[in-house]
Amino acid sequence: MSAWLRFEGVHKFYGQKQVLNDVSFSVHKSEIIALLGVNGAGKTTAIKMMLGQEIPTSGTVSLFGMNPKIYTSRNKVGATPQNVDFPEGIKVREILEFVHGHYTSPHAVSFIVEVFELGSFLEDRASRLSGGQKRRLAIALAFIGNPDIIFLDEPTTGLDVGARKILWEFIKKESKSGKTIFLTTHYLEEIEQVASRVIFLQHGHIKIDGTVDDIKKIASSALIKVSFILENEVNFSEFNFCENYARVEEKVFLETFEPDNLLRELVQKNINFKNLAIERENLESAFLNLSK
Amino acid sequence: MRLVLSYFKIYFLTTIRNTPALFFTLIFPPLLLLMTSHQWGTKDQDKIEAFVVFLNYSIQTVSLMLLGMGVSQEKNSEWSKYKRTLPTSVSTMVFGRMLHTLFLCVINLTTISIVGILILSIPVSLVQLSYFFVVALLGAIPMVLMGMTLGYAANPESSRSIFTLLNLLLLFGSFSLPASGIFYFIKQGIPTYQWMLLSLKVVEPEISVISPLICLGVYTVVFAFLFQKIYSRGQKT
Repeated sequence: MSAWLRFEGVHKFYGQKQVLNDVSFSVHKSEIIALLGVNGAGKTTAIKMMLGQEIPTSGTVSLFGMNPKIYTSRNKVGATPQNVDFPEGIKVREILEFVHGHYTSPHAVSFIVEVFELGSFLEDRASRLSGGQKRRLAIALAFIGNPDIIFLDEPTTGLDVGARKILWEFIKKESKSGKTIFLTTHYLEEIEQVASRVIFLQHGHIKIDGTVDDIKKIASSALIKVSFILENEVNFSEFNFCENYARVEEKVFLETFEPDNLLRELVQKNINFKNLAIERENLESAFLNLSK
Repeated sequence: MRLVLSYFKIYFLTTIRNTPALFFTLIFPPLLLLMTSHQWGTKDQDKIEAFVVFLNYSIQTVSLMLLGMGVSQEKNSEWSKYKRTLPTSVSTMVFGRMLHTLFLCVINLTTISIVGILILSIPVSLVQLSYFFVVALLGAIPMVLMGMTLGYAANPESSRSIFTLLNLLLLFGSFSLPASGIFYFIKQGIPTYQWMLLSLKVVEPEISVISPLICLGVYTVVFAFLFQKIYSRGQKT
């Protein structure tokens, strides 16, 4: 299957400062890809290159086999800006119709208005909307052309819980119908639920390109945290499967590589614990480990 | 063509819903014409010359203040960056903007004519008026290119001062500079002066159109070249 989007050995310099360093990856149909990295890692520059707004210092970027600078390559692309400011005096409906007119087989404006719940401010001037409403409009613009690849740069920033839910549900639905979503976000718990692939950028270089589980495995310390309430004193240094332990009043915190064996050991030694909790590494802690 | 009209519509709606922009581009030139009309001579020829200056000035104001300054203010906005992600060519956006400028120029010429002919009773025939319109719109070509070039080159903070000063310099340079000594040579190079000469050909047949056509042609070529260079440079960064 040919790649819809391809980066090959891409380097980008702004003067002496290197923003992207030998970045290579391919994007295919139906993927939901999250581009992660701390601020300044090169995420926005990479997205700008995909949209033809920046050109690589060296290496190549291709969109459907074409240079993204060529506007016809963007026929199947939808994007939302990271920061949103709409022109003075233009109504929401007029902006939707304007963007709609650029695509050959777009969604109906009424469909997008319904999905993103824009109906209540359709006749308002876009520049006067609240931050959250502007964000919803910006996201709606990315989808209105019914494109094959949708680029969303921090789409949920400024959105309330309800609007986020609508967006993620729509993203999942679009992905099932063959669309590819490429996004950046700081809300890692959301990525954990929807992303089929994560690309982690560090200092402009791809550190990891894999699934959410791959990221967790690579970045995780492999230690699993176990906690419970315990009324009596126990010497955990004698336990075979306990690597570290701490106690705060009645609550005990243990770290283990093998939680199953640790639990067996607890039962065998007739330890009377309650409120057991096992915490595995999540994407956020993996992200923090990787970012160090 | 449909997309060009789409861009035109967005630009046009932005302008007509912006009261200060409307005032300075559409109301200011006829207002200035009314305010200064008492200073003209009593001869019909003097009145017609002043009328021509203001017709051209109105076009110049739209080209510099609305188009040039608009480009400068908007070029780095998030909305402009977003528009560049849409599947359309730069020429569609430029033609949409030019159509918008042209439309406002025609509105401007009409309001100046209404004030000049109906209120100030300037004796202009329909043929002369049509000629003035055509030359004014043709003269808009170098002005539009100048506005867009400077608009892309200037930063948003300084553009207001640059375009206001340039607009006034070109206005007064076209008729206020003395036609003697060093000023005579300076005046020959001012596009608005040559533009005015071209316009006045219909009422002063002895005026040669060679020099104005060469001057405006050179300005057109130079600013087309500079615009292409500056726009390409902006896209590479």
